[in-house]
Amino acid sequence: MESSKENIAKFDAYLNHQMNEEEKLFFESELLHNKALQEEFNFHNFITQSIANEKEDRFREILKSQQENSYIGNNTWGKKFTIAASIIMLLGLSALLISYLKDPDFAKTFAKKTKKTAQDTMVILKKDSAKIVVKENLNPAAEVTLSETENNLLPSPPTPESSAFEKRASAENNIEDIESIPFNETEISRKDKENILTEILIKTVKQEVIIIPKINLEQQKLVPKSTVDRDVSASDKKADNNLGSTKGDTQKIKAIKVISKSIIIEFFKTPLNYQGFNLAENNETLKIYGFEKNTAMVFIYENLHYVKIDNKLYSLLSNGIFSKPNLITNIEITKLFE
Amino acid sequence: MVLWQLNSEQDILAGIREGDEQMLKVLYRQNYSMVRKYVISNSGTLDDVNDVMQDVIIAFWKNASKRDFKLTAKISTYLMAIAKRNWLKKLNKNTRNQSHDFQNNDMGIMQDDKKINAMDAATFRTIMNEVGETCQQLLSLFYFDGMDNKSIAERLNFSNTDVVKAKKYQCLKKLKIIFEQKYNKEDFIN
Repeated sequence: MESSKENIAKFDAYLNHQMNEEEKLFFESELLHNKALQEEFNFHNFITQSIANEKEDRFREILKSQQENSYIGNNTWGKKFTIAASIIMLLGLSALLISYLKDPDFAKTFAKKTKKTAQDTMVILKKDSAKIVVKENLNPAAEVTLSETENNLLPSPPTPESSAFEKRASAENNIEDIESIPFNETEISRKDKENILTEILIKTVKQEVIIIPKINLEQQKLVPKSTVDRDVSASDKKADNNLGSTKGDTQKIKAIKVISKSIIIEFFKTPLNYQGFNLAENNETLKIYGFEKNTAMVFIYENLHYVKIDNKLYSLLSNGIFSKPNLITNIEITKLFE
Repeated sequence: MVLWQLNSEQDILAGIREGDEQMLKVLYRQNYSMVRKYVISNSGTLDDVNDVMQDVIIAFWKNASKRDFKLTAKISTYLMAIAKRNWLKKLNKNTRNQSHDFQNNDMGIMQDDKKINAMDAATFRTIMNEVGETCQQLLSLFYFDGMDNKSIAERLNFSNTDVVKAKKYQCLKKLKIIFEQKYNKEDFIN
């Protein structure tokens, strides 16, 4: 039997509870007494239930796929992803830690890579150290020339410097703490010091660089010198004298040390006790960090710069970047600088 | 709509009313952990959690599709309330070993299990596919979502409710004919 439009409307109203009590009772009694209508109603009910079930089933499939695939930590792939991500993070942190342990200056080089200047990094690193910065302007009139021999430190020659710097220079020999240095017009104000936090400049000197000519190590020996020669011929003469006093040496040993241009050396005390050098690209300024002895000699050998501090020889890189001390242990080479 | 995007409550409601089935996934994602915590802490298993989640979201979908539905609390609060009632009824059902279907009672649909054997959904889908897309949409909006004729007219761009009624009648007639051509209705209805 084909359902009429009216019957379908009636069935839907009944099934959706849209009939009032009177209509509902009348319809139910009609169903009881009219078998054809009852069959028609049952078929309609079946069809509409199946329509609803079909869509509900589709929704359940969507939700089921969601529960199987989507939740990190609640399914196998999610757990695997979580574990993998954790391992990657741990490896990354470990790599950073190892890099830092291997290279204490890692933070600085890392900062350089991220286009921060090394000085900016130093400021960041030492922001909490509450150290006061003392930056001293180099007074050209107060330039000091120092020469260092194997074991002796020669005093700086007198220069026509200001009285303030003279007082300061005399204090530099024993100075350990910058706070003990009296303030003068070459130092920045205390207000500015609080705003700039970096390593402490202990001393600035201007001295000469010694060029050592290339020598065949197998055939020649370099005679130790106790002073820095300003005159090549005098140097030769002295070398010859020293040769004469060396027993058993048959080969002629020549040591020629040529005084070259001057270099400004700045000695820094470092709050973190790191040591290192920073030679400017133009080779005119050398910064020395963290060495107790505030005297140094700078050499050039085969176009490379070397510095000698406390009887130890270090090679330098003229790139304007802070670098760790690279100690030269080759005896043949170190002899050249004696 | 991107699933991982944070959907506002109004976005979700609007999505449901437009029939955007992606909202099912959004609701699932946003409320799973909360329902899971509740069911697990009340003697449930992960399978129970998934069952409850499905029931809860489908019930919410049906309610939200209705024109007169007004959300007076957060969706999560609403879903949680349904989930709690759903789970407590399941627990009671298991305890008392009762056979009545609480879900259908929740939906307010009278059903006589003695008279009607529901057809397998996948099988019925093949019949639905033959009536055309518009008929499928119209019939499921009316009989599953519970939308009124006015809402269906707006959704399917019919000019008025009379068109919806006429179209619904035609679609049902067509569906019943296709069904009777393929199956014997006495096999399903006693």
